Amino acid sequence: MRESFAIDGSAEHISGGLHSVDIRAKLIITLAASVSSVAISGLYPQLMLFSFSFLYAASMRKVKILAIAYAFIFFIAALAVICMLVINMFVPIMKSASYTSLVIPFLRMATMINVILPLAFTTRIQSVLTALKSLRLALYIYLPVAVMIRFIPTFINDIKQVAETAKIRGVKITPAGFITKPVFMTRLLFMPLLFRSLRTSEELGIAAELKGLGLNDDMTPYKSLEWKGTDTRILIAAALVIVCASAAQIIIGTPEGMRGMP
Amino acid sequence: MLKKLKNHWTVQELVVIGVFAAAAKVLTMFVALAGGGMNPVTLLLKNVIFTTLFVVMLFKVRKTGTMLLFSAVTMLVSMMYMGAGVASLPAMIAAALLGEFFIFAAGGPGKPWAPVIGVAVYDLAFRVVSVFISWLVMRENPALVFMVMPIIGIGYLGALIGLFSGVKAVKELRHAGIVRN
Amino acid sequence: MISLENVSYTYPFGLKPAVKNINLNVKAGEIVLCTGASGCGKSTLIRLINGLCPHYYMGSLSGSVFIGGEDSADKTVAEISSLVGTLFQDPEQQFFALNVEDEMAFALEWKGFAREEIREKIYKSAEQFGITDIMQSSVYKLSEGQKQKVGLGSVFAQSPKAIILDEPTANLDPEATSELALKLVELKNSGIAVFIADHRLYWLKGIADKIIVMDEGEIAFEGRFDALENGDLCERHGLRSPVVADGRNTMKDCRLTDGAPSVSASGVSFSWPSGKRIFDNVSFDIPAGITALVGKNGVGKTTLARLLTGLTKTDSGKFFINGREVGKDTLFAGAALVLQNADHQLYMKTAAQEVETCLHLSGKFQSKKAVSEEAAGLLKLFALEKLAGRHPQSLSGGEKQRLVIACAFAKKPKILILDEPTSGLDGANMKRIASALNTLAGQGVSVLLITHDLELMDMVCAQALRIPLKAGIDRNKLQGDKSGY
Repeated sequence: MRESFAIDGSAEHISGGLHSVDIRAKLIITLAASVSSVAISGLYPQLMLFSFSFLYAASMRKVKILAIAYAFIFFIAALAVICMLVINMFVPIMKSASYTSLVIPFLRMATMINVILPLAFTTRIQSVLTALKSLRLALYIYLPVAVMIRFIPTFINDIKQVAETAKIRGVKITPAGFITKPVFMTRLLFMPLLFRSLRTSEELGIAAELKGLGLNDDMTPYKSLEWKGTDTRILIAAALVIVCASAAQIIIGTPEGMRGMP
Repeated sequence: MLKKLKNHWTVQELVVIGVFAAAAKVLTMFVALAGGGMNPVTLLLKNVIFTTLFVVMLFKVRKTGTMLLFSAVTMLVSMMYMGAGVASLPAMIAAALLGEFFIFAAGGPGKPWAPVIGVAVYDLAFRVVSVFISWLVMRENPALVFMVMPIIGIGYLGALIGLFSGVKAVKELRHAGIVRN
Repeated sequence: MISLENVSYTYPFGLKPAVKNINLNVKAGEIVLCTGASGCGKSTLIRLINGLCPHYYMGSLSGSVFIGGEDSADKTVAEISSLVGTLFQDPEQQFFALNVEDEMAFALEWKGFAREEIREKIYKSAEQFGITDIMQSSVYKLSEGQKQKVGLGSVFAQSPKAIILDEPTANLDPEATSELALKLVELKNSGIAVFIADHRLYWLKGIADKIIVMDEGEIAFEGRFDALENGDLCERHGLRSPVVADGRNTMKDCRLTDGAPSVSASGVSFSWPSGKRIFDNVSFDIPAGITALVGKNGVGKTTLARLLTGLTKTDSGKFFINGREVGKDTLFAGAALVLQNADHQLYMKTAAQEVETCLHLSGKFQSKKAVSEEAAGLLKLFALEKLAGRHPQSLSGGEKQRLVIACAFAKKPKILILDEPTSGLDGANMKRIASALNTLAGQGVSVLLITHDLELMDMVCAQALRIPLKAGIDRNKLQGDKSGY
């Protein structure tokens, strides 16, 4: 699935670049960039957001991941153009400008992808948990998040085992199987994991009791993340880009051809 | 306030929320991969599974705010762990708030059908808000929203089926002696 | 250190007490082993000591439980756990953190210790259990023995006065089991009270100061370990054997058996995508009967099972069943595999449906009636006929294990591979599984057993296939030469 699995040893050599940026900074950038890209509707401000976010994404130095993400955007864009062609065949009121107005939604999508990919692919999941602890989040946020993160890899292995057992018994898990026997296939994958979830909840709940979770109002984080100068600088840079894009939006506005239908 | 909330859920209930959030994520991801991505059956099944687990989880943790917490946790981890889009975050939170309100209106989470009503409202609200957010993202060319509509529609159909399978799963868990109340 | 006085306990919804009239003492520096058939009340006894009963499970308790001289009724589970540490069968299931260091610090963080104090405590404990070199490792990458040590290390970082171990050897190989036994002796010598609930007994010979045999919620026997060597006691209470021979090195090599091989492999090579070579041009035969797959952890036992079932593709090589070369599809059709975790392999609504689905999938039965009859026969073979209508997930561990093996039998395989089929099972359940395997082997099927259970191995395995396998065997020469390779 991704680098989050590089929890220990294998992740040790990954450092520098966005890997060393504090997760809290990346989280703020992701949220701020996403909100501003939705709020802004001008072509040039959008291009500005897209360009800087692309540089941000490129700095994670993961060409393959970026290529896959962009291939997906282009695929959706191509699909949209085909749809537009079909719609225009039946609804003559749609103008040719509709095609150019496709640009902004896809720039917006690309900007969002540009900021979410570094968050997901340059963050060790261990530091997510450390960050949550450092923030001294209440137990009711920290505990479910920690449990979810802890058990995703375990459940992936479980599902693989379920699928392999099914394969040995003579059930082929294929897309066709999901179409021809959806109920059986769902049951086959779903029931073992449902029961496993219930048992895990029970066992882990007991372990939590025994470990004294929730006993004290406060916990002492054993490790905490260190906020560095780079993190501040990268946040300032992001804020500047957003301010400039917003200013451009106010000054230049939205070109006529790009405006949505009433 | 925080302390009050902390005491609202037991440690075991918080663990149930985390474990079910993980199971929901893994199962929907697996179905998407095994089913070959964006085909309609896969879209339907993903939603059936998610809603079923959601219903079972709400039957296990019958407390106000559980739906909201489950949604927030799922979204937060999906975003940081798997690169899920930020766009669906407000839709999920808004839907969860509405779902919580209907659970409250149905007499509280302890009432027999309250979790089902809550999830039904959640599913509908999530889709409606998703359409609105899609419009917001694609407002320069609203025709694009029509492209998303079938996906949202199929998803909602899956969620509706998931309501029934959720109730059936709870019954089966009672038969297996795992859920008693 | 641990003292139970006239304790009886009934779970909520329980119709009768899970344990009754229990009087028990575990002194500092003493190891007490508690054993008994499945459902005898061992787990409840553990829960009473660590406070989960009644503080967590509720229910009704009469009598008193004293920990370190104080009545546990007045304490919370977390307070009790600071005095008595608990380690469960699968420690990984109780891990919250992603790496060893964080896991060891976890409980201390929530108990309000200062950062420096936490560091001092966990590193001291890690040193005691020899795990300082894996402190930064992922919890997903630990061996079963390492998980156990991490679990113990986490418990001991909290400086308990007593420790409870629930089925500690169920997932351990004999070497890790011996290591655990030595560690327990060290703890005992340092004045820790140790309470162990386990089905496997042999590893505590000469170590346990006292044994308790539970039956139907009551202490049926209390005395010295030597008393188990009287076969009657074990037979009467469905216990495992207190003395077990390690046949891994003495068992006949399956390459030396008489008769035609049932399953053969020729020139098999396999490497993982990482490039690690597991098998290099190896050839071997597996005769009909029960064969133990023997080798150290990580040597390729599971990989061989995957290759033989067609789950993983070889880089090169051929497989033969009864002398006929078979492709991947025939391997799939002819092989059955029972994995360790029974829960993953059960998905229908009733035990009968579970077997019937497997019979349908095998494609060997046409009519519904034939399927029902065959399913009934299989359930009977595994003494599950009275449970046919029960939900598979509501069965006990031993019953589930028998059901998944019945499902594998339903495929009518030419080769059946079982991965740890008896871990965590009592003597009676182990014998039932052994008997069913013998029945199948008697029908000419090759049964390959991957197990750490020396007792099961001793009971059913006629020969062993030892890994690592040597490369480049000349099969023609082999037929006339039985002196080995």
